[in-house]
Amino acid sequence: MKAIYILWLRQIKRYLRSRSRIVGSLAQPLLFLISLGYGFGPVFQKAGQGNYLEFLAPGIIGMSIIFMSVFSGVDIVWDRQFGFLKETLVAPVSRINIMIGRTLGGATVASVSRRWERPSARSSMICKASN
Amino acid sequence: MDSIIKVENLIKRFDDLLAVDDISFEVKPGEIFAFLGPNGAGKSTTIKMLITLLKPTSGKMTLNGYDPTKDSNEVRRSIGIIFQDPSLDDELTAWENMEFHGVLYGIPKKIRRERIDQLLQFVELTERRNDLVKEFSGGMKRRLEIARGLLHHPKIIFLDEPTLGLDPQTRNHMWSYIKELNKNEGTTVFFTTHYMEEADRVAQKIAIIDHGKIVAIGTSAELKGRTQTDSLEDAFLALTGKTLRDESSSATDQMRMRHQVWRRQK
Repeated sequence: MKAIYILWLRQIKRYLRSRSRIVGSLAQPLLFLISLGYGFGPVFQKAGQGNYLEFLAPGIIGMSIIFMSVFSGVDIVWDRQFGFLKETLVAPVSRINIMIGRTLGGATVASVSRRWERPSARSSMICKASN
Repeated sequence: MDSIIKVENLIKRFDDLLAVDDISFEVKPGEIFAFLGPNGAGKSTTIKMLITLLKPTSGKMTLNGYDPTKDSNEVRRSIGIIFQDPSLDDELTAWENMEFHGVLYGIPKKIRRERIDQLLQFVELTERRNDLVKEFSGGMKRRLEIARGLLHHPKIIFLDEPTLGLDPQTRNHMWSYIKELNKNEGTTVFFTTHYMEEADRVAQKIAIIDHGKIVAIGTSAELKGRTQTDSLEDAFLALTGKTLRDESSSATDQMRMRHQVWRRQK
């Protein structure tokens, strides 16, 4: 159990320490939201389909969660390159627990970084409404 | 006295390459054992099998009374490993790397914290404990790695070319610590190196492997006597020949290479 916790904690710490990753993970979906949202919004509304941003936001959130999850998969490859994977592989911990710990860590990072996106999606909707 | 490491007729075959060809040896508890050989002789493969990272094709191994292929967790608990290339997490601090290791090995919190403090002090990294490892020099990383490998008080410690790229000061310091540990705690030390004078000075017993076979085993004096040479380096050359060896790069090496190229382009 403790092994799972420490593997999870490591993922979180790594994420919080890499500013470029935080910025990257926020910028890309925001870009989609703004460019697509404002670009196609009026067309969508003219066609009588309601608020395009409301329609778009869940999809983008889902998509970026998938992106983040893929990144945490790629992380394993990085660990292999920098040798850290060996440290976990020779520890007296079952492979299953290593996998669970990493997966939970990756999942937490993916969903937490999305939590920050939702308010921004909402505020852009409010801007839209006030227009 | 029973051997702490016992290897009998160990064979490892990769497709058509016979990496380890029917080797047998024993290491006594508390012994400092050097495992020497030219590049690609089968040293790393043997170590990988002993530390449960690779399954042998056939043969029998016993470490501290356990079989690495069956009781891998028991074996892992009894060994500490210092790898050839760094295996620290660059994004964590020195202390966090130690803590991570301690938790993985299930050391209770109080003992863990005490030992981390002691070991960091020993490798003279106490002042840098809260710095990220990526800011460390090569020697500091190595020292931290040694401290980490000793954290769970292993019965056997494996060192795969531990002094590669270290200056003589750090090297001396490291060996004096390992010798001290060997004397006080009775830790068995199993190491590989390319520095013959190091093996000569430190090891109580030396095995030389070439082309997957053990060509000689004994004390340094015995090896020199057998080949009628003055230095271990000459004995080594007499036993393994003078031809240069090429080692094919592993997938990891190739990946590192690509990474470097990629970084340079950026």
